[in-house]
Amino acid sequence: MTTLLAAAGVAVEVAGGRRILDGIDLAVPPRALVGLLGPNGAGKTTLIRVLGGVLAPTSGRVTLTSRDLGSLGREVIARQIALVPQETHPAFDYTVLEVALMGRYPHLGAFQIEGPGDLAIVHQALAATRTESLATRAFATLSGGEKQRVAIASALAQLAPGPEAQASPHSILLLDEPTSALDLRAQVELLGLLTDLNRDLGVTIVVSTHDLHFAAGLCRELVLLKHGRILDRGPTGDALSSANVRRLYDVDADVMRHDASGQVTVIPFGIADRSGDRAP
Amino acid sequence: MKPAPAAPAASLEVALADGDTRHVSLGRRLARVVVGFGAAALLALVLAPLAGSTRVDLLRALDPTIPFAANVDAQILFVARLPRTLAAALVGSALAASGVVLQALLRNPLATPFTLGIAAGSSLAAMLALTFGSALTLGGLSLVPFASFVGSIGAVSIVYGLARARRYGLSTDVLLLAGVTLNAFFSALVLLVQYFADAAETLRTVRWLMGTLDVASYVPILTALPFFLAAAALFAWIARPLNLLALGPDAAAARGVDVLGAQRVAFLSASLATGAAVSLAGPVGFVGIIVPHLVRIVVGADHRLVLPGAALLGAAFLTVCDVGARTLFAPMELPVGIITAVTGGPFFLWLLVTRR
Amino acid sequence: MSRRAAAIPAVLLLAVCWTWTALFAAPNRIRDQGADPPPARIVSVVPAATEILFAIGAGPQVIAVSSYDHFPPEVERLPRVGALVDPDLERILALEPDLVVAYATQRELVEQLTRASVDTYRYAHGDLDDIWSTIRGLGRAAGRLPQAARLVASIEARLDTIDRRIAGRQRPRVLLVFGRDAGSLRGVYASGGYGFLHDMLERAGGRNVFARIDSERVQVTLEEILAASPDVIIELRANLSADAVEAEEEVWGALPGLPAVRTGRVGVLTGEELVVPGPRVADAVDRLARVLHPGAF
Repeated sequence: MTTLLAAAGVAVEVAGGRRILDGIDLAVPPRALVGLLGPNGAGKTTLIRVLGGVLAPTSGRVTLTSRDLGSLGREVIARQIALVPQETHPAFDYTVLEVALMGRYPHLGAFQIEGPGDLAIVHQALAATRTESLATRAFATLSGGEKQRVAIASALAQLAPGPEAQASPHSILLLDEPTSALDLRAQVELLGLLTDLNRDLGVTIVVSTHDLHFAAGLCRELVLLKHGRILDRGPTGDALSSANVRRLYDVDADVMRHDASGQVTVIPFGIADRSGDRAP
Repeated sequence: MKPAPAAPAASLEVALADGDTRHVSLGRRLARVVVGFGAAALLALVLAPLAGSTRVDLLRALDPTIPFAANVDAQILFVARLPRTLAAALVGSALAASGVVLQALLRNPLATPFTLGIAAGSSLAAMLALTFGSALTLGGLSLVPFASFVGSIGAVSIVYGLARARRYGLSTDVLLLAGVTLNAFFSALVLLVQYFADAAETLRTVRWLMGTLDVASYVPILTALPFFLAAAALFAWIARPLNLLALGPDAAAARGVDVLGAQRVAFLSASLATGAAVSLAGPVGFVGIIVPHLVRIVVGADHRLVLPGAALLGAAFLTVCDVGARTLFAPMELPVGIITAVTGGPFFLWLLVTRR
Repeated sequence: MSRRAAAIPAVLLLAVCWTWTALFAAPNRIRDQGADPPPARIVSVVPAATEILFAIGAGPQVIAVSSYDHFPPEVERLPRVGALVDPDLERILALEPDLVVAYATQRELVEQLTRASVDTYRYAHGDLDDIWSTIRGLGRAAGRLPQAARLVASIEARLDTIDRRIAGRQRPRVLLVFGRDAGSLRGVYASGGYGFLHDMLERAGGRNVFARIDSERVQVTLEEILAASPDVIIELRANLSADAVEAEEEVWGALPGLPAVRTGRVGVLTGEELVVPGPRVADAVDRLARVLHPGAF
């Protein structure tokens, strides 16, 4: 299979006729590490929500292993695609363990209680995100980075197969602006975690972000979004060019590559005279 | 994902940093909640009919050889006290559970069963029935309970319609604002109707607005019972989705929750339970906010524990309050809403001050 | 709930207003019968006062009555000016009265009338003895004091007759109810040990089971009714159809243990004279006495 998750002609229109997304065509192969990069208001969050099946597009379709998302049951989708939102603010005082356990929802029947198998999966997920020691802490008392990691653990628990379900080798993790509340150390930790998940567990990861360096450091390929349309796409090294940075952010920058680590760095040095693309 | 390790025994133990261990089995915690709060509810239900402003000889009351018509003790127990106790338990349970559900739906721990306009709608309808239809009866029953139930459902229907006017889903912000606005609007109408009422009707409505459990017979309870049972079934179903709704609609949807469906069920079940409770006893305040908070302090935030706990504690709480209502100023009856306010209000303030 | 929070400043405000008007409100201006001519245009906002005025022969002087006036029949063609909670000041002034009978609690109305130089008589609701002083007071204000004195004497004479008839008879314990929810025993309001209803009951030869409560109205629980164990239950209503009367009497069947229910001595009495503390109070006491002591009549 070459495409796990695909969007074809996706457009999202809101009341008033304004198009937040237009003409989105996307194909995400298994084990990919894709970044949706763009400035604020580009439609990245909307696209993530559409890919996750949370928001139905106004036109076009999203397919999961060639099946239309609209035709799949919610819980079926949830067992394969997990979405980590920008921030998690539970309205009540849940513990870390309880928040992580909520990821098991799509695997349980209406009145079924989480069993020892579910608890084991959740503990594994907490361990994978190095948050197991926080299990009995109140979620609200965690730092931004810790909360993020717990949310990812919840997503991992969501993707883990239930005892009766078939093991799904093609889990997809969608993250929306994961670094917005993180300090530098937490960002580096997150980067390492996501890289490990992708490499060791084969999780397909799609991240939406406006943070160039995070995208450059994590993703193998980038999809550049501006004003709801795809500007360019390709492997990170190619897509992240000075020309694209100018088109995307109206900023003149030098893009340099650190040969030893392969890390790409963007050094801005001024505002561009004219933007590459006008708003629709 | 790597395969799970060998399955552990029936309950999993979490190793904390300091070496302590704690069982996290939900089934066990649920059993503890039901037994603990259930004992309180049972105790209240058993002792409340024994308490009162007059002395009742229990043995004489339960003596089957004395004909009922001649057995004053039995009449006090079964006609004067028991219906009130049962009504108190049902109303307290319904209001507490509705409070929990609405707080989860609106993602706001300060929401009450009356936030969405139910109290105002039922009060207006009851007021109209009291003022203009006080001599009318429906099959021998007073119009007021029917009117108040219809009024509460009418009010929440308006609120629901307003909130659904937006395109996507059920906007909880609009729900809240619509509810508050409707409350204010209907309260103003209540004052208007009061203006046209005479002194006796006004006094009667003011008393009704404070909430009273003076049901006088089993008939109103039986009439309201189907609604309580329907709401209870829906509460059982909605408990787990409420946890996920508390994370936010997107987070819940991403985990496979039918968010709109869950919101509708939450809304409907809370409206049914509260509407039925108000039709029995008027809008009794404070139960719907005090009890959920107390229960959350004890059992945590998981709604599968909080809902049954609140239902049981609510029953116990209001039953005890009703004993106070009918004994403190005997032979006069104090509206039970005053008792709940006087005990609940300061306690809640203390809660707000001492918690972090 | 916001109304409850607003209650405290509202109560304080009312207390301040009450004190203010108590200090500065004009007292009843008692007309000096010799010096002033009797008022020719009287407006009565109080049904009891209207009945008294007609009974003392001042009926022709009455030009407007309250929304709730129905007796004597002549008042039906008179214009209405509102009642206790909604008196229409403009209408009253437009009629150019020279005497207005208002409730003592209608302080604003009285003050406004005084400022408009209209004489007012402030009616205070009380017990049976207060009815006599009201009759005399209105007699003085309307320039018909002799007729008022005669009315009081005749009512007292009738009451004495009733006293004699029922003298020596055992006085049953009575629950006197003047309000409750239709069709059920919810929200039962009974007469306490104060007020003209209580006094009427006592004069009619009954003993009020709640005489120990020093209040005009008591909302009683079922338990207390059962404990009080009244021999007779009398409900007073202004008006009710015959079918409704029967239906409401049957509601008490829910308490079969009460002596009153067992012996069938439950009665719903309708008629305005029962609830208006006016000149027909003797009729009311007579009706009550006939219900309580049928053998004496």
